[in-house]
Amino acid sequence: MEIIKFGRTGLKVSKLCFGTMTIGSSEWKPWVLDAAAAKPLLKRCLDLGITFFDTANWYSTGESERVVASTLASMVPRDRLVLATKAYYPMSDDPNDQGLSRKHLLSSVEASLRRMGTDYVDLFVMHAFDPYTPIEETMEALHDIVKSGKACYLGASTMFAWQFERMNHVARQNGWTSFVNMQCQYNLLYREEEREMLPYCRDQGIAVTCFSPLARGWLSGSKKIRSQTDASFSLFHGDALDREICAAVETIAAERGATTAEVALAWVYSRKTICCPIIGASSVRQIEDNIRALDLELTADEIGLLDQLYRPRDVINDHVPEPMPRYLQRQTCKES
Amino acid sequence: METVSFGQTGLKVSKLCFGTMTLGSSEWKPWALDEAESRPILKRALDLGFTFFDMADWYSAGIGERIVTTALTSMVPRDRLVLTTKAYYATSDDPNAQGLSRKHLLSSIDASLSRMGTDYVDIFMVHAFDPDTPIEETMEALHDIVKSGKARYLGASTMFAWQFARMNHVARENGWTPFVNMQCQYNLLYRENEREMLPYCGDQGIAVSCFSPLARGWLAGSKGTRSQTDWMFGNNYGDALDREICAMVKSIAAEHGTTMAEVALAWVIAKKAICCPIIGADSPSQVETNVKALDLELEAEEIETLDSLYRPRDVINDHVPDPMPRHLGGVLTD
Repeated sequence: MEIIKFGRTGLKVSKLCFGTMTIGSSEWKPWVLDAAAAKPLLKRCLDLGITFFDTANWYSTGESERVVASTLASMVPRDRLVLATKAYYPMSDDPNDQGLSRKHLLSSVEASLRRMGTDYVDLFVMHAFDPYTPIEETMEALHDIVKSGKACYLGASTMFAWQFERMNHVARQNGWTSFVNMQCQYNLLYREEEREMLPYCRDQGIAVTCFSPLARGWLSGSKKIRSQTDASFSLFHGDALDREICAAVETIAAERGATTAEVALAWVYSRKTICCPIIGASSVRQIEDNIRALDLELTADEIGLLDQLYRPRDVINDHVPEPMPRYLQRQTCKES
Repeated sequence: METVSFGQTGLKVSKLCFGTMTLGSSEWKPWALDEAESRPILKRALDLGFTFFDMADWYSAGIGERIVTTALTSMVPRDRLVLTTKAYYATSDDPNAQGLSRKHLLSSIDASLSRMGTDYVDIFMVHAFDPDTPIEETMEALHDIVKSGKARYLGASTMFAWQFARMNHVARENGWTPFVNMQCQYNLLYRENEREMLPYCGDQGIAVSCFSPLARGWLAGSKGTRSQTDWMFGNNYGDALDREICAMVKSIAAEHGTTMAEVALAWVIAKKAICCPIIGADSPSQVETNVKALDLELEAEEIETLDSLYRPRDVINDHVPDPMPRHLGGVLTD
C-alpha cells in the first residue's frame, strides 16, 4: 500500500488507516470482536501494508487499546507502527474521568499507554470539543504530553471548525503544540465538513482523516448485526436523498462489476482534501474489499454524478443530539 | 429607539441599523432611489431614533455614501452618528481597485471619506473575504487605518467562520486591531450562520449585525420592483420549504393583526445572538413598519413554531455562485 506524508508533518502513514472501534470486547457492543477473533484481521491489515491504526480509550472501555496494541506489537516492532488513541468520553462515573481538563488528559494518556503497553502514541486525538474546559488548559496539558514524549503529535475529532481553529490559535499564541490532524466523518451521505472544516485544514496543511466512509453500512447495503442494533445506524442516515444516493452508488457498482462499498470507498479515496480514509472491518474479507477499492478509479463523470446529488443536512455531533432528515412531512400549513 | 452596546466595545448604537443599499442612484440598480427620494426616508429614520447607518463603497458605485452622509450630516451633527462603510468589491476595471490588498484598502478608505465628507467612519468593514491577498497584508493595512484615525472600529461581512476567525487571529498574533463586528445574512429563510458564525461571535463577544431580515422581500410577501428585477430574489429563495415558512409567518401575522414583515423582523429581533438587525426601506412608511416590529413580542410558542420548520440549505456567498433549492422529499423542487 502507498505510504504518504501526513499533512505538513514529517510523519509517513499508510494511505488507509485501520479504525478499531470494532475490536475489543463484545460485552461493550454486540458487534465488537474479542481478541481471538480480532487477531486475523489485524494480521491481514499488516500483511496488506497498513501501518496506521486508530483506537480510542472509549472503544470497549479500554479493551480496544489493549487488544489492538498488544496484538500488533506481537507481530511487528512498535516503532514500525503509527498508533493513534483518543480521550474525551467518560471512562467511569467520576466527573473528572472525562473531558479535556488537565487532570483527565494527563491521567488518560498514561492509562492508555499502560493498556497499550507502549511508551508513546504517535497521535493523541481529542475525541470532541469540551465546552466546559478553558481552551488554554487543554492546549497546555496537551503540549506537556507532547514534551514529555508520551505523544508525538496531536489531533482532534468531531467539532465545529471555529472551535478547532480557536484551539490551534490558542496553542500558537502561547508557543504550545498545535494539532496536525482532524478526524471527521465524511462519506457520500455526509459531506457537511466540506463547508468549513476541509477548507480550513487545507489552508493550514492539517492532515484530514475521515471515519464512516460507508455511512455505518448504508453505502454497502449492510444488514449486519451492527446495522440492526446500533442506534446511530438509523438515527443519522436514511432519508429520501440518502436512499437516492445509495441507488446511484448501486448503479455505478453494477456497471463497474464492483460492490457498492467499493464504489463508495473509491469516491472517498479520490478526494484530495482527505489525507487518510479510516476503514473499519469485522472480517478479513472486508479488509480485502476495502483495500481493493484503492484500485477502483472512478471516472470524472461518475464522480460528478455522485457529487451533484448531495444537499446540505444537519451536522452530526454531540451537540446535535437528534439530527433530522433533510425534510420532514409536517402538518401542512395553507399555501398563501 | 433603544440604544445598545455594540458587542464588547464601548460603542453605543441604535438597536436597529439602517441599511442604505437602496439609496443612491437609480442608474445603478432600477430599485435604488435617487437623492430627492432618499432624504425623507433618512429624515424619518433619524426622527425614529436611528443613529446607526450602514453603507458601502459599492452601493450605487459611491453615490450611496455621498448622498446618505450628506443628507444625514445636514440634519444632525456628524459625531451623533455611527457610520459604517465597506470595501472589497470592484470599484472600477483596475485590477487594483478591488479586494483587500493594502493598496486598495488605503485608497478605498480615503475615497470613501472624501465622498462622505467626514474625517472618519465608525466602522470600516471588509465586504467579503479575499482569497488572493495574504491575511497579514489585509489586517496590517486595516490596523494602520484605525491607528491613523480614519476608522474607529473594524468589521467584516459574508465569509466562512474559519476565514473570519483566521483574520482575527492573525491580527491578535501581531498586536493589530481585530474585528468587533460581523455583518451576515440572517432571516427565517436563511439561518446557515447559526452553525458556525454565530457561536464563534458569541464566544468572542463580537457584535453581529445582520442584513436581509426579510429575505429580500420574500418574508414580506413583496412584489416590488426589486423583487422582479433583482436576480438574488428568485435565485436565492423560494423553494417549497421557504414557501412553507412564509405561509407560517403569514398565519402568525394574521393572528396578531399585523404584517408578515413585522413578524419576520420580530423573530430576528428576538434572537439573542443578533446585536443589530439591519433594515432597509423604500419609503418613510417602510421605516415606520420596521420600527413597529420592535414592539411586537412573539410568544415563545410562536418562535418555537417558526424555529422548528427550518432545514439546512446551501450557503449564500460569492463562492457558491448558484445556491440550489433544498432537497424536499425525493425530488429537487424549484
